[in-house]
Amino acid sequence: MRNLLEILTAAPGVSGRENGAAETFSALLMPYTENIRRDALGNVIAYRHGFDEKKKTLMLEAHMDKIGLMVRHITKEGFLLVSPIGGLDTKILPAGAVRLFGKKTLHGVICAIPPHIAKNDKAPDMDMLCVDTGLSPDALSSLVEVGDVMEFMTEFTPLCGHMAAGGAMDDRAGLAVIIRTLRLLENEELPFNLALVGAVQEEVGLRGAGTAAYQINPFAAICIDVCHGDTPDSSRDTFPLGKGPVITIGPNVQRAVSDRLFRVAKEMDIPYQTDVDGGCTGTDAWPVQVTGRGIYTGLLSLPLRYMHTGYEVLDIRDAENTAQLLAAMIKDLGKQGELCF
Amino acid sequence: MLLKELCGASGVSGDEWEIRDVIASHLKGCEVVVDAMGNLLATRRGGKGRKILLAAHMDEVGLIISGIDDNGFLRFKTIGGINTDVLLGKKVYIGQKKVPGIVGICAVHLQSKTQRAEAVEEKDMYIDIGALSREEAESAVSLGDTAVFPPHFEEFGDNLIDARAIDDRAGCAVLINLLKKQYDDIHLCCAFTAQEEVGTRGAQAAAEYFRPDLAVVVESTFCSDIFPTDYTGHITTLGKGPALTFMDRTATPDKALVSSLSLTAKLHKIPWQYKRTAGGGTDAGVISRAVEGVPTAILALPCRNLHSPSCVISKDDYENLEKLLDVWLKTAAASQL
Repeated sequence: MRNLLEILTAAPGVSGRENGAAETFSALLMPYTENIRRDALGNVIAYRHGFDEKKKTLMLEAHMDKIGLMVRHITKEGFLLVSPIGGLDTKILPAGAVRLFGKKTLHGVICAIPPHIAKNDKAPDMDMLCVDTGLSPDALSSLVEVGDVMEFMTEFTPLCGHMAAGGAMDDRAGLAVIIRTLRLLENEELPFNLALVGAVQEEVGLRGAGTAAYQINPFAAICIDVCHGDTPDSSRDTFPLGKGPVITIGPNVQRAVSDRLFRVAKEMDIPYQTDVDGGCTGTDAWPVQVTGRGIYTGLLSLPLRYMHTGYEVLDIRDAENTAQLLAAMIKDLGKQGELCF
Repeated sequence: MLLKELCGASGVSGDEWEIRDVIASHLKGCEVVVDAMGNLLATRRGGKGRKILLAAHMDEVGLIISGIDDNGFLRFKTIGGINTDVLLGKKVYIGQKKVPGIVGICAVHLQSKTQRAEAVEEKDMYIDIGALSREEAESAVSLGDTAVFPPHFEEFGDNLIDARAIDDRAGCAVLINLLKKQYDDIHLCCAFTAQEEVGTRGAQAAAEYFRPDLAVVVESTFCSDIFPTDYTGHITTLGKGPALTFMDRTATPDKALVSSLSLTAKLHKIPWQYKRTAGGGTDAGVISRAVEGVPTAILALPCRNLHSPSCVISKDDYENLEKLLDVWLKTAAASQL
């Protein structure tokens, strides 16, 4: 699992520019699937070996895109002004190193705010930040354009125990869970199809997953995303790390699905936690559930600290247990002979 | 590359042992003394003539672990003037074992509208090393461990460098290179000072040891030539050469000495500029008032994002800084006395 996380979090792919992540995800899917393709929006859609169009389909989904920055203006002195891709806290930006995807990959530094401009008790103003590529305006004009994207330059870093930090754990950890689940199910015969989706543009409005679901038309879907891990400065709606995946209850998850996830987790002695969400879960489960004629939808989340920063932190055991739970759930569904809730 | 090696070694003020060892390893053939403050004092064997002191500080700004809570999170204080703007979400390495930790922050989704608009105070910040309990944290780190930004070193753009601790490993690198050269008319003394960042605390002892006739502090300094600042706010401009200070908060450099340096630059067509502010402070303050007084100047490398994980300098400026000092030591220094 650690290896999968390391590979998947390294792939480039901000919302709208997911090619790098799609390639990596597809390569990892290949041993377990037939028929991998990208749809019109860039979603990766694949089917596990043994697809039979007469059978119902269960879809597993995670999003491939991550947060980043986009060039919105190049000043005449050659500094880049930027817009956020996804929900960003400007407080984490100053003095961060970035990888800029222009005509070639360039190194950039988000400038620290000069002391005479800094308002010491205020968060930085996005409009006052700039990125330094060290290039003259002339050199820039042939390498970088408005609309080019950049990502935080951070690396997968093991911490104490089973913990790890890295960029894009949200939601490359979800993709890792899918691959691991396929591995756990390797020799399992299932009476239904398994569709695997790497969705695009979740961070900018849950935009890709519904389209993928529409094309697959699954009977049921389980989305894997992240939820907030506990930190000293956040008290509500957070979960401790290392205590297992979080199963969501609420209108976004049909009772039959969440009930089953709880039952399987208990039976198989897999640690789990409970999240109660009264409305939109803020994940791809929201659009997926109402796609087509409606889909039985479940949501599994990994507790994650510092979501949407350069170093997000999770407990690798939670990722492993999410895959264990998913695989157990699928086997349990398989015992019925037909996919139903 | 020497600068890369020096930027890669840890050495927060008061904890300079690692960088001191690295610098010492490059000073074979020199007389080297380490004093009670931890200053590394070096001179070539057999030097004679009037004494010129060059001083660059070894220490860097960083963090020091001041608390461990029941859930394994660490509290810290800053050492030196780090603007806490640059800490959140960044990785640090803690202690001798270089244990990785993340300076954490509540996810943006969970912050209230007011919290999103406000800065976080240092006292509310914390480091996450992935320990899930106090005991687990205590087995990895201790109170008083110092923490540094990760030692990356990237050459990019038009001959620029992005690295941590440029301030003042760049000065140290220049001193090491100058100590390898021969200056017949003067006695070159180099002080790699300790604890500059917490109040120029080491330099006086260094001046006391050498009792020099003249001193030049070799520093790294503010460069704000970035958007949205116009020229008047730049302080220094990247690529325009090393910067001479005319006045700062703790010293007014000796005018004749400053002129000698600027004239040398003009004569030898080496780019140079003034540091265009009266703010800031360096070891020059205490050196100039040490012993019976030492005429002192400050020559500094312009550096964007000073005191942050990603300091940006121009390689040309760095090379010109060394070149100017080398030429000055050969030609004008002796006649200053």
